[in-house]
Amino acid sequence: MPTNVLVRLMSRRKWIQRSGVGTANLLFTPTLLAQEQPLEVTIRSMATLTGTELGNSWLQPTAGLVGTIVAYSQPLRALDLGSIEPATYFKAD
Amino acid sequence: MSEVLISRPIHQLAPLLEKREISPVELFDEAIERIHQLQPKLNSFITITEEDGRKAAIEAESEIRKGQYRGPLHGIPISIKDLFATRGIRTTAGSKVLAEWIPDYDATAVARLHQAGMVLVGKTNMHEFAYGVTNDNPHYGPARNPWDPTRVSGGSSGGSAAAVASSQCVASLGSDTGGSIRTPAAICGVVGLKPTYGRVSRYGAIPLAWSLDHVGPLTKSVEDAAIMLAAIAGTDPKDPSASSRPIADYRKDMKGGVRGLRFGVPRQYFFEHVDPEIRKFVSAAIHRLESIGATSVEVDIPALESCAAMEAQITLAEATSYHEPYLKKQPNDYSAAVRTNLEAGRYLLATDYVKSQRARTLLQRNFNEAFERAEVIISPSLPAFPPLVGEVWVQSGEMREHVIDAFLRFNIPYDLTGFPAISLLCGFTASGLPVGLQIAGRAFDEITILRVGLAYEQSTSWNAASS
Repeated sequence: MPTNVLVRLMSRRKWIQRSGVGTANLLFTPTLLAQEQPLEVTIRSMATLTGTELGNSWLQPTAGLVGTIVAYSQPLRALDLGSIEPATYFKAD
Repeated sequence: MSEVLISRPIHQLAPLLEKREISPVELFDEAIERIHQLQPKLNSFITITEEDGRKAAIEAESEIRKGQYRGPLHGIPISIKDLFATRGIRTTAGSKVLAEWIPDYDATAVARLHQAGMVLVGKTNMHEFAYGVTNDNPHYGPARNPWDPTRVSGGSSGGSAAAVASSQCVASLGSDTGGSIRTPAAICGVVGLKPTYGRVSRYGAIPLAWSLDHVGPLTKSVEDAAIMLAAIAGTDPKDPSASSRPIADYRKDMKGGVRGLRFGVPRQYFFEHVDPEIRKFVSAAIHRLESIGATSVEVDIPALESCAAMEAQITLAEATSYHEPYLKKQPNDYSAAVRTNLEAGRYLLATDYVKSQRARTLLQRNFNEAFERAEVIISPSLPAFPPLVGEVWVQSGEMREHVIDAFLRFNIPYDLTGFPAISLLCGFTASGLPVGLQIAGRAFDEITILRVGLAYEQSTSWNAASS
């Protein structure tokens, strides 16, 4: 894994650990570590879906980053957005 | 004498150019001399447009002599972030992928600056594809900090901010997806304005994330930011997100002062995990605004803790979508960091992307509630000082964190909401590093943030123009 990716990954873990609320956040780290191995398998198995075979050297950092983003997206997933629709500038004309 | 003219802001130079007391060629020569002198040390430019720039300066001189003065940007030496397409001039986006690309068209903002009579001095260094906050560019070298060349200039518009701060040009054009105008502006001690999403056309700017990308100026003064905005703002049939709302008379209407104005101070989130010296300068700025007639109110903005995830989900998905063809053809031309981000963008969930886009509306509502109590919101621009070139850790008060996390934190709420925000200088530390103050406002209310910025700037004994 390239050093800068590893460092960023470690940083995000720390940020998650420190920026949230107490013990709930402590649970993220082991969850995250546990996620990375299956995520590599999942990403490898998605080659048919994405049309891209990710080489070994990119698999681990990519899985690490995806795992991190998924982990810190938990507060986002928990948001109750009711009937709010996505903002868009798509125009039919 | 040679540094006197080029170090002045646009609003001081323009009347001298109009009255023919100075010449655009003289000003251009000063800029070029300064660029050649500082390029080996600061590396602010990827391409220097000496030949084209001289032609433009000679033409501007001739037009002004004939009485065809176009306005305050006529004959002013300006640089452009290398993200913007420039006709006939190499446009790399700080990448190896586009290292040889010479566009046959100008980005709309660039075309408007040409119409206003700018003299282009060069294309500035930037973080590769604007995908980062340090401007530590592996292909063209790092754009260094003019206050301490061992440190980064911030990104992604780092070359632009460094060039303005070190008077290699008078102003620059940048872009901001997660703070890429305001972060380097704060670090280099200049003014960086991110206008409302839709106020300035994005056409011809290589996208990082279409729905978050903003185009705006980096300048030596708040008044200069207003002059630049007036030149580039407005609707554009080539950009579906460009707004047709009328453009205000920024320069005239920003001069009302702040007496009676209420500004919000969000103690949560924006004042947490901040370097104590930065906190001290921002608190002093708050007192200064109160001393010139404004009133502070505490405001609370919910859901900010989701901003980092929203930004990551949207940026990764949109950036990967744009880069997919290049990623197939030239994967090895990307740096490891940018390529990892792009690869990761393929594996995020569409539902998380859509939820992030939906949550932006919630965030806008929450900010709008705060804006019912206050006309602008004040905060530090950044929680930490720039790291040394090559370093990625910074100290944000009691928290040591990655520079990406630190520099995105106070910026991304305004990229996600699309609301306008400006960063300006609010002091220098004992070690000589500038500190940035961020002022954010309601959608399309650039006038008020410019008004507060100008009033604050005029109330201080120093400002970016004197740097």
